[in-house]
Amino acid sequence: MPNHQHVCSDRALLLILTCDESSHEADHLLERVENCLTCRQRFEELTANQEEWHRARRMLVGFDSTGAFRSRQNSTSNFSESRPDVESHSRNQRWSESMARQLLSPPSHPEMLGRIGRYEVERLIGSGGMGVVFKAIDTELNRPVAIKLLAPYLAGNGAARQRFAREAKAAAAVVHEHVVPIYNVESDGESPFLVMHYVSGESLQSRIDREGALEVCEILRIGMQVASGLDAAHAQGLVHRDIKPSNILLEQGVERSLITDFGLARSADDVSLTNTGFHAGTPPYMSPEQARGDSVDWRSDLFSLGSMMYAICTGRPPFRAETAYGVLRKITDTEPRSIRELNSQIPEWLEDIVGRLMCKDVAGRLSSADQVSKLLEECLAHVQRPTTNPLPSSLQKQTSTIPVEMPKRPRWIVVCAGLLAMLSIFALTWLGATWIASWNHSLGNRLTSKEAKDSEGQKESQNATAEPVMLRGKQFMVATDPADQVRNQLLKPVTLSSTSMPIERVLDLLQQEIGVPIELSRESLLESSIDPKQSIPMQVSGTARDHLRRVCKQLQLEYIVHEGNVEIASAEYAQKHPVLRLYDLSYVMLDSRNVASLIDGMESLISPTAWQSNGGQCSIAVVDSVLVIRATESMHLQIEQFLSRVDVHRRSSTP
Amino acid sequence: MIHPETRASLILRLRDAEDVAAWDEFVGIYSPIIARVASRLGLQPSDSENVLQEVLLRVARSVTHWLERKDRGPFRAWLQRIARNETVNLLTRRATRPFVQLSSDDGSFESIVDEQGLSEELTLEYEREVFLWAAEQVRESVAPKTWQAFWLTHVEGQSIEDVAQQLGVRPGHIYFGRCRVMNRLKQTIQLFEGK
Repeated sequence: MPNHQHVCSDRALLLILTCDESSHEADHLLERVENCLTCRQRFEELTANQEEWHRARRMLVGFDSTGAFRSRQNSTSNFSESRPDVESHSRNQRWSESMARQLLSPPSHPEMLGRIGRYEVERLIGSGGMGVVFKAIDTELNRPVAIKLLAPYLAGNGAARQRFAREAKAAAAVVHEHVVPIYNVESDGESPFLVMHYVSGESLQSRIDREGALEVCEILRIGMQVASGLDAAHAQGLVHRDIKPSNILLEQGVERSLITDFGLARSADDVSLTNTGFHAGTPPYMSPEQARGDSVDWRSDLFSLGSMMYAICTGRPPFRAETAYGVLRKITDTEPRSIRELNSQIPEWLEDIVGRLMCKDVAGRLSSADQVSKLLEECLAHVQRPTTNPLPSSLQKQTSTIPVEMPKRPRWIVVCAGLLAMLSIFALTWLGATWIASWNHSLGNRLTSKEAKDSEGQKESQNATAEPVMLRGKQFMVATDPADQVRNQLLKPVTLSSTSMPIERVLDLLQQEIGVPIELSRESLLESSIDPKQSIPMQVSGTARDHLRRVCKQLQLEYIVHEGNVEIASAEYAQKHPVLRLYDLSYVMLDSRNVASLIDGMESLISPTAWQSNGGQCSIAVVDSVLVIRATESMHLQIEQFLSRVDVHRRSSTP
Repeated sequence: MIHPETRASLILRLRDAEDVAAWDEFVGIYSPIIARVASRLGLQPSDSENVLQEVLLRVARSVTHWLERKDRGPFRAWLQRIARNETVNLLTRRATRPFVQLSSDDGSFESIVDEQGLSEELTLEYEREVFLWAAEQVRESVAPKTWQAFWLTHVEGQSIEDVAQQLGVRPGHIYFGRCRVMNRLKQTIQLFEGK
C-alpha cells in the first residue's frame, strides 16, 4: 500500500503543522499520511527530533492530561501560604464582628463580644493587613486596652508569627509620649496578640476625611508631636516605614497625637528581612526611595512625615493617580502641587518646611526628626505669640534655597553632622584600629616588647582621654588623642559609599554584633580624603566571624577570608581581588638593608604600569620577620616567582 | 509572588511592558524551583522563602545593569542565568546563608553543596518548569481533541487507531494533531526563551 511515488513534500507537511486545525485543504494529505509510513516518519521528524519527542513524554508522563502540571502540592504550597501580606492586601479583607467573634473565647458577660486571656473584648475597632484590633478591658488592671490579634489564617504561619512578634518587640522598645505604648505581647498561644494602650479618639485620617485641611496651629502641633515620636523610634534604630494620617491617633479631649502601627517598622539590624521585606507601605505616603524599592533609612520617614503634613495642610495626599503604580511614578518623578495653591491659609514658611521634608533627594531633606520637631515647636511658639517669639531665623528669608540652620549644638555634634553630610565617606578608623591591634597582637611575639608596650601605652592614653559622644541617642567614645603611630601605619579605612546607612547605625551594629568597644578618632571624622581602595585586615574569631559576615553583607561590604585572616573591603576594592599574603623571612638571613633591597627588587620587578593598573593597591610591609604583601592574584604570581628565587616562601600557616 | 515594593520598583525601571510580563512569568516559574531545590537541601519553608526573596531581589537589583548593556540578549535568558547564579551563590556560600544554622566557626568559604551539581540541577528544574508551563499554554490554545490526540498516543502510548476510534476522527487527524501539539510546544518554549 505505501506509495513511494507520492511522498509528500516537506513544504506541504510543514504547512499542516502551522495551518488551522479545521482546514479542509489537508484532506488529501490525511489520506497520504494514513497510508504512507515514510510520509508519517518524515512528518514526525519535521515536527521535532527524536530527543525532543522523548523529552516531551518524559516530562509529561504521570500527569493528568487535563489537570494542572505546575501547581503541584509540594512545590508551591509553601509559597502560597507564606505570602499572606500580599494576599491580604489584594483581598482587602473587611472584618465583621461576627467573623471576629469566632477568634475569641465566649464572653463572661453577655454584652461583651468575647474573651481572650484575661481580656474581655468589647468590640472590633479596626482591621489591618495582619490582623484585627479590638477594644478590650484588662480584667486584672481594670483598664481599657486595644488588642491586636494576628489573623487566624496567619497564625499557623511561622514567618507571619515571627513578624508579628517582631512588630511587637520593635514597637515596645519605643517608649515615648507620642508613640502608642505596648503593654504586653502573647505570642505562644494559638492566635498571638499584642496589647496596646487604648487611645480613645480618632485617627488623623478620619479627622481630615471629616474636616479637610486643619488649622495652622494644629498642623504644627501634630507635625511636631509626630516628629518627636519618630525621633524616639529612630534613636532605637527603627524606621517606621508607614507614616500616614491613618497611623496617627488623636486622643480625645487632649491635644495629643500618637504614632501607631509599627506593622511595617523593621528593625534595621534584622538581617533576614531587611533585604527582602514583605510589606508594601501605603503608596501615597511612600518616599521615593521606598517606591523605587531601594533601601530606606530614617530619612524615608521624614519624607512620609512631609507627605502627611501636606495632607493635613490641603486635605488630600500629595500624590494621586488612578493606580498604585501611577502613584509610585508620581512620587519618584514629579513634584506635588503647591500647598498654597490648594490652601491659601498656609503660610509660605510652612510650605517651605513641608517642601524640605519632601525633597526627593534624601540628602536634601531636613536632617533628623529631632530637628523637625524643634523647628516646628519654634514655629508653633511664633504662631501663638508672634510678638514675643520671632519666626526661626532659618525660615525668615522666604526662599526655598536657604538651607535650614542646624540648631545650636555642641561642637562634636557638628563634627558628626558634618560627617553625615559627607555621606559617602565613612572612616571606620576605630574598626581598623581595634582589629589591627588584635591582629598585631597575634603577630605580637614578633614585635619587640618595647613596641608592644608603646602601643599599649598609647591605647591606654586614648582611653583615658576619650569623651562620650551621643549620636542619635547612642553613646560612643570619641578619642581626643591624635592617632597613634601604629594606627597611622596600618590603618586602612574603607569607603562605605555603597551603603545608605548612617554612620552611627553602622557603629551601633558593629558594637552590638562584635562586642568591641567603639572608638572614633576626631581626625578620622574630619578626614575628607580617604583612600577607598583599601581593605581592613583583622583577626576575628569564633562566632564573631559570623556576625561580622552578616554585618558586612548588610553594609554591602565584601568579606574576604584569606589565609585565616579576615578582611573587609569595599566592593570596588574587592572586585580586583587584592589579597593579603604573608611570606616568611625568618629562614633567610636578612638585615634591614637586605629587606630594603628585597623590596626594591620587587618594585622594579613589577612594572610601574602594573602598579598603576592595579590602582596602587599593592602594598608591601615587613612586620618583624614576616613580609606582608597585598596585591591582586596576578601580581602575587609574579612576586612569588621572584621570592622563590631568593628562597623566600609563602607562609602556609596562619599567623 | 515577589513582594510589591520590589515589583513596583522593577516596573519603574522596566519601561517595556513586555519585560514586565516576562518578569511576572519568570517569577511564577522560578519560585517553585527554588522552593524544591532549597527544601531538598534541607532548608525550612521559611528559609527557602527567604532564599527566593533574596534571589529575586538580587535579580531585580541587577536589572538596571542589564538594561545598560549594549549586547543584552533576551530578557528571559538573562533572568534565568542570573537567577541560577544567585541561587547557587546563596545556597552554597555559608557566608550568605544567615538563614541556616552555622555549625562551626572556622570561617572558611568552603561550599557545603556541590556548586556545579546545583547549577545543573537548577538548569534542569528550570527547563522542566518551562516545559510544563508551555504544555499548559499549548493545551489551552488547541482544540481538546487535538490535545488528546497528542496526549493519548504519545504520553499514554495508546495506538493511533484506538485513539482515532475513541475520539471519532480519522487516524490522519491523530497524526496531524499530535504533531501540531508537539510543534506548538517547541515553538512556545522557543518563544519563551526569546530564540
